Amino acid sequence: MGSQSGGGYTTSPSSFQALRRNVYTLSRRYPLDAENRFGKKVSDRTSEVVTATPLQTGQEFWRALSKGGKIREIQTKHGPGWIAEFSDRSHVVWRPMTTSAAKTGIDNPAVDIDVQTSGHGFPPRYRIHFKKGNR
Amino acid sequence: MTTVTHTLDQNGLRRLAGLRGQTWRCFGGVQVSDWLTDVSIFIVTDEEAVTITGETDDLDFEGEYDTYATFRVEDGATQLPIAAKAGNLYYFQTGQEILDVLVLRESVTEARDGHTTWTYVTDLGIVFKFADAVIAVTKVSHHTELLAVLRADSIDTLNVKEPSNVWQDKLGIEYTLDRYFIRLDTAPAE
Repeated sequence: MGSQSGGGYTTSPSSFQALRRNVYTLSRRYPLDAENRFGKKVSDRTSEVVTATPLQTGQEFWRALSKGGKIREIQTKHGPGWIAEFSDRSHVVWRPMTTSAAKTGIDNPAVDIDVQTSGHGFPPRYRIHFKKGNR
Repeated sequence: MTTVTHTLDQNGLRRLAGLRGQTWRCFGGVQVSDWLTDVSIFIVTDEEAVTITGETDDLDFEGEYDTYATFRVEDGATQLPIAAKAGNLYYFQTGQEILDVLVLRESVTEARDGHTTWTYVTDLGIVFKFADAVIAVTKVSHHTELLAVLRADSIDTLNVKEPSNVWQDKLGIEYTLDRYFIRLDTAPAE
């Protein structure tokens, strides 16, 4: 992966290639489906990973997918979250609590993957919910 | 049919409209990237400052809850000293008068089998117009807090990337996207 011109900045090391690499690295442990999505597809915008430890598994996804990105804390309606941004503006968002969790009191953290570079076979944007259960 | 309007509130519009005619100094943010993105951007003029922050609300008009991005505009720039220390102030168009402030608004309409099911109206960007340039603070995504600052020679050449790629036509489902600019040349009424 080399640097490239355009926009007056260098895309390495936080380019889209880094996110793609992160996805494939994580897929060794959590396989991707035919649409290059993690977990079980629930809808076009949501997938579900069933795990005994939703928060820990969500953190594992976040750590893996955010590598090489520019990380910022955000304030969500349900508490702090984090965004990892790559230089094509693709980004991964870690939301330790989501609306469904706030409503039910059950752990239901989420990781959003928003891909801004098309043509790589990744869905443009979807959310992975981490749901408590037996994997 | 459901219509969801998720736009800047009156206070935000009033703050932005009040910048018209002022002299632009700079913009910045605590963690602005080299490609001019952050989750919060402040604008400084000779007279005042405002901070534009990306936020999300949880909405359920598409059949399931999701987060939808919105702008919050507040008075002041409390993060300015930190941003200055980090070298994250940008002086493009400094000293120029803000001739206009505009909001770029988008409506997305879903139709299933020819029947409209919902319309979502939201703001995509806040545009500051100068004599020979524009600076815009825009959403990177309809669903996250990330903002991007864009620059162009004019509104016509301002290239706000479509963040609506999640709404793609499928068999029996069609999406119609419409964009328009709203001039904030007078402060909106209460």
